[in-house]
Amino acid sequence: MPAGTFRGDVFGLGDPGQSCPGSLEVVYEEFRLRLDDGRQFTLPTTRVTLSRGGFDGLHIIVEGQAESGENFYISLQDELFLDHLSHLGPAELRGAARDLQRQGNSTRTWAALSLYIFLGLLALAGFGLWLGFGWLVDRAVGMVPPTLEKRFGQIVVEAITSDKKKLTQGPAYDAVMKIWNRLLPAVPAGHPDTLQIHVIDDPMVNALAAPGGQIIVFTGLMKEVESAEELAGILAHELQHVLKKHPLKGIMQRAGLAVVLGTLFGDAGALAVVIREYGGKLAELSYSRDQEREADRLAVELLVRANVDPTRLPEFFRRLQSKGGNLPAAFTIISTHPGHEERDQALQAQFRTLPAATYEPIGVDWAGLKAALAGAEQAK
Amino acid sequence: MKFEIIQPGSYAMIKATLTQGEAIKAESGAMVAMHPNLDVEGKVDGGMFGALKRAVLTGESLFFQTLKANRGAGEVFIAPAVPGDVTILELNGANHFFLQKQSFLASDDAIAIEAVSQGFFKGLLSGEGMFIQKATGKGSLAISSFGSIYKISLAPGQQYIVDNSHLVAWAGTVTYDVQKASSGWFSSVTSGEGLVCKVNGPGDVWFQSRNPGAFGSWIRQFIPSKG
Repeated sequence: MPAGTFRGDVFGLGDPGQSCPGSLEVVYEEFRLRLDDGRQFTLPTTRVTLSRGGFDGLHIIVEGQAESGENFYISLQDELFLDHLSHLGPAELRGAARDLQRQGNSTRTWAALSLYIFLGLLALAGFGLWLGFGWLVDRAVGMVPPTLEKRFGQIVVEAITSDKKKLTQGPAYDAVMKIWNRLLPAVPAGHPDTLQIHVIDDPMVNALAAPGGQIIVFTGLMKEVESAEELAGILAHELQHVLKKHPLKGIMQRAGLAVVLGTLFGDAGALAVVIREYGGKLAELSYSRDQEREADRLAVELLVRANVDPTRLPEFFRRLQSKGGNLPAAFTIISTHPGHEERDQALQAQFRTLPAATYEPIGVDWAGLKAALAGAEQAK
Repeated sequence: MKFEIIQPGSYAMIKATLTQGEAIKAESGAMVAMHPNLDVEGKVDGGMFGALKRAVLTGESLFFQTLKANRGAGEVFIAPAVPGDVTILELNGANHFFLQKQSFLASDDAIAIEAVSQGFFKGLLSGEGMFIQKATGKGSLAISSFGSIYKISLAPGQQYIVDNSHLVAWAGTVTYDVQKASSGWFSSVTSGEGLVCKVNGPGDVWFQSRNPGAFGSWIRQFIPSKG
């Protein structure tokens, strides 16, 4: 293409809206228009106006009448056209060309700026949502009526324990109930849930909290702890998860924004679906480190109020830690309770603030209990 | 390369005939059937940044599929995901088109498809989304619609009203403004139209006979709630 010639989209011939590609050549006092189909026209520069147009406002629009009488609307996108006009074009168009150059720069700057502003606002909204999501979850959990939360708890317990044997008597059950009855009077009054513990005959080494005041403890865990006080520490910790509604918060956090907002606006239907579908996975739910630290701190306070030695709380986890990664898959308690070392340090610091005291033993022959559990296991 | 529309109408399909060495790109997952001389592969079109921009901003797939006649001539059949018509646009190097974000179906491999912003208010109110696609280059471009597709050609300065969410594609020379359907807000809302797009020529505008959002609302009433 010769210098001073620019490609464009030409309207004005044939059907309205139909364009034809062509080239516009700037000769000193006229534009020579050559369409790709071979037709040629001459537009005197005195009959031409320049403007910006097009969807993005960056097209250069040349409108004018040819010597032969046809009216043309030519859309160009080559900024060199304006550069050429402003330096070498006819005097009457040089000023207009410079104005359009400035206008184009301003449009481009504003378009880039508005894109960056939009992306910035989007990032800000995302960050705000990330920061505020925990707050929204807390508010949404507050909107779930206690009766509904209790029903959710029953669904979760049923999903986790339906294929397992639930103990209602025997040495394991009696031992758990003895610990439970020591802890319950120390629970602060005023919580809306009826607290309930389920003892499940299963090798899983874990204890977990479910919504609506439900706690599940597996006999697999009882075989691994060394004293009633150790198990009391773990149950006190799970009790705090229950009292602080961590299970429901954990489910909601994983269910996502739509469920949280739905619950917040009084529609717990989506939450019910999530609990029904995924309630059985609660045994794999791990809490945040903040929630674990909070449960530890409040568990120590509960144990002190119950006159149970709180220093035994971290012993079970410390012993598991010392075994490193050589733990069987049944030890799910490790994966659902992260950050042991950090939590241990925080607990030791809390123990140093406690006044010296002599705590009343719970009084369970734990070695005898473990032997009974082992015997029952062999008998199966 | 030659595009041909097979069975135009609600279930239209494109037949692309390629000579050896030619390639086309198509929407991810759009290939229906093809000659064994052709190979299909996923391609991050326009570089990783361009593809990411298109995927993030328009919600389209990160990948296009490239269909190339590596072992001789052959044809490939391509169809959109939703029921609707298909039409072919020609790019001559001097013109370009804007497409609403789900309209792209297939094109010559040399045609560039990029995501562009159409501005905050237009994006919010037009029903076409904050970001649309811009097709530039030289060759054929196949676009798809939801329902049938119709073209209007506007002379310079000529205007037309299109309901929002019905625009499919428009020439780069066409501009539009979003405005109330009636002179007052009350009658705009009660008329059932609310906001409309006033398009200004010159250039061609393609619109679709069905509104995907309205169809979604209609069908939702028949889906039983699980809660």
